[in-house]
Amino acid sequence: MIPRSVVSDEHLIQRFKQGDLDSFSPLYERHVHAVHNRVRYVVPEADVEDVTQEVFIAVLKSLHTFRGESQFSTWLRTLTNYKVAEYYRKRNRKQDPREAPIAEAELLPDGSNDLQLEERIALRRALSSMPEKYREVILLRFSDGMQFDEIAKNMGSNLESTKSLFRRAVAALRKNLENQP
Amino acid sequence: MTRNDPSTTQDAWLTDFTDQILNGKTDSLPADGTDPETRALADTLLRLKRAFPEQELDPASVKRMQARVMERWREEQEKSPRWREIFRLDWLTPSRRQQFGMAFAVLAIASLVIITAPLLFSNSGTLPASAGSETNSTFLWIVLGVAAISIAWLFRRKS
Repeated sequence: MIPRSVVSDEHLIQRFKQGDLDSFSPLYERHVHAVHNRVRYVVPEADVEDVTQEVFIAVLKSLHTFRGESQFSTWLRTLTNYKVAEYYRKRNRKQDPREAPIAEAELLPDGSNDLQLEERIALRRALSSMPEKYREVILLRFSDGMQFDEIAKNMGSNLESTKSLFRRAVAALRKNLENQP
Repeated sequence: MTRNDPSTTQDAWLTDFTDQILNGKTDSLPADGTDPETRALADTLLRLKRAFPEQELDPASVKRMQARVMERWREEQEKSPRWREIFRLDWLTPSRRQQFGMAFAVLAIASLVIITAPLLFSNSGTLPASAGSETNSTFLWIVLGVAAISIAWLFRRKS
């Protein structure tokens, strides 16, 4: 028997498609940290686990449509971004989007002086309101831990253009942070 | 843009700095080395790194979340109507599903041709008042073309 750690994602997916539900488990264990990490950069603390779970439920539902034309991790990133966008659509329907950051701030313990948490809230808001292309290049480097040459390859671009895009993205992030009330 | 272009140099400086903070080689702004604007951007990167320190999910959380995912999925599977499962063709392997799709498309086009053939190939031009029939025939060809394109689109390959 081949050890689980060396079985490729594609092989696990193939087995899942053939009805072996157990093959989902190693796939989940392999990718849950990456999904959770990406989600925590853009979704409020209290909802990170829920959104991560929604991503994997979506994986289970749509894995049969995955044809292996792109890497599973790339497909999963797209699905994660879609679920994060869906989370914000639902949330904005339920409440005035201008009040959303206040709702998140209310989760802070009374009299909390947790500057790191406040900083995270500010950065999440700034990241969430950025153009997708800018947010993506920052998340690929920071949350997914990709090197710049890998990001360039992933985006179908060259290294210089990717570095330039990254700089513009960081400038946009800074501007968003400065414009926050 | 060339390698000597100041903006390219600043881009490279900022990405090198990013690599350093993410690799744990530095956690503060260097005293000098670049322009104030790029330093301000570097400061934003430091804020991002400090606000989101590396955080691994603990094994208990991983297991708990997985159990909830499986439970929710099973619940949704049970709620999902049987007819939808049949039309999603999940009971077929991917290669069989494609063959089934092709067979369905061929059958649909063949049925459409059989139904519309009398109108398409009628010898309408010999009749004095045939303008209406010709319009019908052209219209049907358009409908057939659109139907064929729609079927091809429905069964296109998805990644």
